[in-house]
Amino acid sequence: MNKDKELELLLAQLRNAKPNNSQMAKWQMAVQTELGKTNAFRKPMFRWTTQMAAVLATGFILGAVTSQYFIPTQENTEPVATIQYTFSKSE
Amino acid sequence: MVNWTVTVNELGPRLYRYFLGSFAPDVAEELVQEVLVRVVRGWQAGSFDASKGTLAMWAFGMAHNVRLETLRILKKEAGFIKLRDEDSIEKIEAPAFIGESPYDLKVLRKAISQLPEAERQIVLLHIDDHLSLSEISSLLDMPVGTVKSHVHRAKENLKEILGENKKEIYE
Repeated sequence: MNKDKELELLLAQLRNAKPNNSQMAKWQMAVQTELGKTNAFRKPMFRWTTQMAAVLATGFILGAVTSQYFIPTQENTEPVATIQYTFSKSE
Repeated sequence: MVNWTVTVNELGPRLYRYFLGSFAPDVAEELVQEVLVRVVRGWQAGSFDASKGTLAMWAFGMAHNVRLETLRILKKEAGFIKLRDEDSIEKIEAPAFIGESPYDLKVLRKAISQLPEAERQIVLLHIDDHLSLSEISSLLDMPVGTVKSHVHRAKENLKEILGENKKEIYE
């Protein structure tokens, strides 16, 4: 047989080689499993971030509500220093 | 978004043929899976850059690296390639290949393995009909002219190997 023909025939055999159905199914399964792994990793991350956001929001709301009672401001503190100053000056 | 079912259906057979040029069918099957999983991981990690080429080209770049990694590992285990090759070639199921004898594939694989590494890499990529010479050149970081001359030289060398050492190869 002609050398060129022989080589082309051999190369054509490799070019025509096809995987069987079970191999294809195996690869599909591997890819789907890999995609599933990534999704499984993302879901808890999403849940975790949602929880953090909820906790922060609750904290801000509680902080805003309670701050007016616990953080001393000009309105909610008694002028103790002024009384003491006035008292000591009057003595 | 990538339709992974379609991608596997398209890329799986192409990568399988690429690996069949170097490895026995059972090893090729495992390597295709390895590449596909790496492609998915890379895609999810955002490593794929569409401006640098197609997804198939990217996958073949990975296949090229996986092939080199595997050869390195197999080289360390002396005689492993030979053992795997001879053992598994007998077990090939007929439906795995269409219109050819697995024995001829073994002959071609042996002939390809005798080529210089640069020519071997190009022949293996050139077997895939969908990869153009310019894609192969950017994959291997080589000018298109060099790729063309390597393809030509590789074919001449293969003819020589198949002709001169025919008896040795078939034995």
